[in-house]
Amino acid sequence: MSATVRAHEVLPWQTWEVTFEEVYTRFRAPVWRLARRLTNNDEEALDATQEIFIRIWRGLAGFRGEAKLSTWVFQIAWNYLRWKRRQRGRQAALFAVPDPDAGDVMDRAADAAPDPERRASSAELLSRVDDALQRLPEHYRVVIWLRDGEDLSYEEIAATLDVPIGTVRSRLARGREALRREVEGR
Amino acid sequence: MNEATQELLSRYLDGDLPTDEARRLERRLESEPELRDELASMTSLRQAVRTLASHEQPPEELETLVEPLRRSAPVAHGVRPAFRWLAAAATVVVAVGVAVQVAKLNPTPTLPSPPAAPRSESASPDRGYYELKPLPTRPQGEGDELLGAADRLLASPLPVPEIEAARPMEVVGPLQEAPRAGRSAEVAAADEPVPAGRQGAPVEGGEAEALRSQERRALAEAEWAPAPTEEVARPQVEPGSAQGIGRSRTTASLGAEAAPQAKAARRPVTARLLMRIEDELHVVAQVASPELEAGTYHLQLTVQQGQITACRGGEGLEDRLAREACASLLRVVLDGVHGGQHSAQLVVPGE
Repeated sequence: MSATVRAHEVLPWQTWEVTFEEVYTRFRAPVWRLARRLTNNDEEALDATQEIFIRIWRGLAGFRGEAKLSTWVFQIAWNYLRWKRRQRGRQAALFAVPDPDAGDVMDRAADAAPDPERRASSAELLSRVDDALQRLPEHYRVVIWLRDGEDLSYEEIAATLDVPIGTVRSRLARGREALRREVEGR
Repeated sequence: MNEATQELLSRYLDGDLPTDEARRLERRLESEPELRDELASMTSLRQAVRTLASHEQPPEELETLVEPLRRSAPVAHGVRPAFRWLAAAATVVVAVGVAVQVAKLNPTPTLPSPPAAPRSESASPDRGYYELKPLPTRPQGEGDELLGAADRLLASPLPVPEIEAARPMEVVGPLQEAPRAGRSAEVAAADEPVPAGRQGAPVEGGEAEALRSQERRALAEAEWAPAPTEEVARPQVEPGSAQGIGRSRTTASLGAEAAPQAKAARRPVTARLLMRIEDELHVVAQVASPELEAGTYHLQLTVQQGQITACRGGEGLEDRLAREACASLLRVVLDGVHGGQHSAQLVVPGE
């Protein structure tokens, strides 16, 4: 079995295989990021990521490629994160106090800016966007993150969240507007 | 700016607008500065979100947590969806071809059908000529009894362990009877790493009693033990190595997704894994909130270097229950148990 085979890369007449290792390598960061965005807490995100990969492990043998692999993985992640939120029975968990270590992300991102002035403004914008995302309602936050953060198509987002594509379009538009207002402090 | 225009801009940004609508919007953008500002703002925010995403990487601790899954992993396989239609069509064509060939090979009835025979009977003149025999089947061997996903993980491709000389095992939960009021402290103590002086200590209260009596007591204890707050009592990583690593990360057992509503309403319970070692029954691990009905599950475990490398149901345990019981042991570490095969009992208390 080739270690590089991907479900969406093979030709129509070929059978395909995908191993857990491949899924993990490819989706560890996206799943972690989604968990972090929806829990707003690094510790909870780590636990959630572990649980999501257990579910992926359990379900992989039954995956037949009817959906794209990325959609399947994000569906599992989204279902788990939503279930976890309901289980705890506290919507407020999704708007928890930001993790104090979360600033590291902005620092790292801002450090990549080319000069000190732009670095400072970039850091400030990223910090504001990061904070604003945490304050957004979950249904806006998740579509913005999947579209702009993870570059999923509208169709993939609709399949992941199990909503019509029109809902994705409207939530994305409203969510972006809400994000802009949050960033601008209005 | 109204919502319809915002949605147009949002879709334009993502390239989701049909060409004619995109051109109309571009003409508006040329003449409406406010629209241009809005689009520029959206573009800037999208870039910021992308930048945030590109710099967020999971902590290294995740590798440790997922390592047991990576040791032996399932494989998904299949054919491309588009090809399924071709395959289905090809199957139909082949089936029709075979049917035609079979019809040609069938001997023509030498006797004419009775003229008054119903149509349905005349359509099957060869009835009785062919005897359908079942296809030969391969006898089911011992190796066919794998229990599914959990076994594929647990039966990791490690060499067959050489059974080491018996050595004292680490006791996680002492088996002596204790007053109920003191149980919470005892369970709390069991959550902590076993002190060096206690490692290998014999189980208290078991020396002068008959084996059956000891077993009954151990099972009884496992059944009324209250659940600790942490779901898995055995730490899998040495404490103190890094913040947060010392405690178990496990927050739910496998299968939690299967019935989330039901699970949400359930009070957490802690199952105990018991092993008979040197004719004494030991509690070797605790499993938090297993997705199992209350009861005692008899299992056969192969242990190597503290890892469960294979798990089968014991005699009389149906496959489904064995599979679920084995799955609940997915992340159990048995540091103090020597390598080899062991009979074990997983005792799941009632709620």
